[in-house]
Amino acid sequence: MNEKTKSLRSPLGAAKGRGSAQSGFEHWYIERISALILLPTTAYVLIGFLDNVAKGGYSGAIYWLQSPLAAAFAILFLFAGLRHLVCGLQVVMEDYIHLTTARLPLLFAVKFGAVLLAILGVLSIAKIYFAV
Amino acid sequence: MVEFLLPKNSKIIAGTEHPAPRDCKRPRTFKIYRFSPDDDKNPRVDTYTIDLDQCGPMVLDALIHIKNTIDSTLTFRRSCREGVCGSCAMNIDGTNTLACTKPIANISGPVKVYPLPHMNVVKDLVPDMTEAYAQYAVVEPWLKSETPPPSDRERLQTPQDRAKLDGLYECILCFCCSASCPSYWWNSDRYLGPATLLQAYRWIADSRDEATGDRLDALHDPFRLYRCHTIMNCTNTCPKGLNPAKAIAETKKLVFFRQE
Repeated sequence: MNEKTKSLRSPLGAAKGRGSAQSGFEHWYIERISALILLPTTAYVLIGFLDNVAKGGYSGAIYWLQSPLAAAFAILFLFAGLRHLVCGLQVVMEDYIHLTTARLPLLFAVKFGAVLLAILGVLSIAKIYFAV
Repeated sequence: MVEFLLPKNSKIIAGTEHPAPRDCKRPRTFKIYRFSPDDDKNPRVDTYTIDLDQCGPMVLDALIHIKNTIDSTLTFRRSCREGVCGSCAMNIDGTNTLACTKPIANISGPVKVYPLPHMNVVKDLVPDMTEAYAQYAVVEPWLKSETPPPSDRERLQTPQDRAKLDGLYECILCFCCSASCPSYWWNSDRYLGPATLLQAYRWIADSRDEATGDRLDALHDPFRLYRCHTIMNCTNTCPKGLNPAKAIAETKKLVFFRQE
């Protein structure tokens, strides 16, 4: 704290601040659950995709994504990955960007981008799955 | 944004050299951070070479020797000289620890002594602990119970329940751990830090305390508790060998189990 920002508030008043937000558990929990989901889904999607590309190139990959299990895993991988990404970026921003007016728009942009990517991803997988 | 570089007036400049005494048998060099609030000068690092035959084995002994024989302006806190008061917490050889329990012989090269990192410096090796103490007060570190104590004796606790406080009650509040935690460096105004969270858990884990729920409520906050990213610097640095990271993890577990 520099001289400019020093206030006359008591240290205890400053430490108590606005009290406890009664949240934080969910963020912590989702970060871990999404990581757990990412373990098998990343392995499945990576191995399945690379294996089929190696075997049949572009059409091999298309053929692979048309199986229900692969499409389901791909969507799960997409959701878990993006949720985990948002959680992680939120932590980084909360750690390093202290100005709320800078952090909140950035956080909104990240969440907006993640939702957009999720919709795009699901539509793309659905397009391949239903072969339209 | 977080300040990764020191502000201009905190940049460290070269200080004074105090050479070894003429009849020195076992010379050892100490590089010590100096800052005086009484002038506008930047902090500096003074170099003192002393004769280890003239002082005791610990870093604190050397600091006292320097203050007594070379430079009486050197300022630091100390009291018990045996690791139970926590006054002489400082950064020695790159690690936060107690000067009184850190043997000089365990350090190779010049002994670098700095105040606890990322705290305001009052003078030389004396950090301003006001904020840390206020955060300690926030967790209300005393036994809270609605049930009155038995009229003829103290509140009882089984040996098993008492054992749950081992590794917690030994904390001497030197704040070596909090000052070693990057999360605390960046957000010390909102994150309570490992020392205070270990103390909070000391009361949460106490079978005689009846305010566990209120205590967990007070901690359930994205900044107060969940800024801990299990970096583990706290556990690494604790001069008493305690494990604040585990206390924080146990607190998170309790928050988890009361909702799941």
